[in-house]
Amino acid sequence: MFLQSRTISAMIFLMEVTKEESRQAIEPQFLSQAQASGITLHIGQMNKTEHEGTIRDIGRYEINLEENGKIVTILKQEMAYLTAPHPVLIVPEPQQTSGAADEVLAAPSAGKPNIQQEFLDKAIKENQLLTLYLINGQRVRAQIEAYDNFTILLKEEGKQHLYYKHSITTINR
Amino acid sequence: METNLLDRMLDTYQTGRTSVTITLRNKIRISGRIKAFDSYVIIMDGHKQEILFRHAVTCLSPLPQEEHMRPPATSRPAPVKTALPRPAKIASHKPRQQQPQAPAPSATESLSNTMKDGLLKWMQEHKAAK
Repeated sequence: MFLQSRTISAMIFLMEVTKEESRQAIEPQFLSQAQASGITLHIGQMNKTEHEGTIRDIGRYEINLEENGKIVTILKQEMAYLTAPHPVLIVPEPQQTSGAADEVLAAPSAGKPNIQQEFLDKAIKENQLLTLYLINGQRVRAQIEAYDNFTILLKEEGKQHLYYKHSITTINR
Repeated sequence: METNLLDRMLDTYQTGRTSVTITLRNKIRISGRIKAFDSYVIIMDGHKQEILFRHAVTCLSPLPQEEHMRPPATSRPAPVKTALPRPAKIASHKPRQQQPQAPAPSATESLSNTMKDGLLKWMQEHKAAK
């Protein structure tokens, strides 16, 4: 009995870790996939300047973009979004482990509810169409696919967008 | 994942003495050579020295002129071989060839041109200031 409960709690803990890791890995995964496939990305910055090119290097706080044969270093803190013409990152369906997933989701919210997490998880589950308002006044309507601590992955008309949370002011359902 | 890619790029531009364009948050572009940098500021060596804070930097790229000069420099041997006999054969093609290869013939010439332009601009500004 005791052993069983321990193994279950260990399993839940493991799942939580993997879930947490997958949540944290969206942005680096997206960038490395885009770099590997040599896809042309469209990058919008906070000050509404735009860049288009392929990723050369990925740093922690900045990326090197090859734009018209020259290398441009762009800081992540100034990027608002990255757009890929077709999906780069395939996100696994979250409905695979329905029962256990609910338990895992309920576990952290038991202590202190994470409002943002709940909102985004619900939006992903129900395939809601969200409206994002950015700091620079732009408005985006798209479906959310996944998110991590700093970014939100959206899909819209076959394109895939990666929005940095620091560029978002509000999200409406 | 590299933790300080920007530092590396700044270092290569500084040691390579390449002219760079730095775009700030308010879309202002500053171009010149990088004289020095640390983790908070960059000192530029343009026609007047200036210090800029790294928290205002959005984008760093080599100056377009320098970049146009560079690709022909690496692939110069091949065009030169074909270019040598051509001008003698057809004179009418000469101007057309010269236009795209303008930065290629000599880096010093175009550099001196930019220096001339810079000097002229500076003189005009100086006159206006007086």
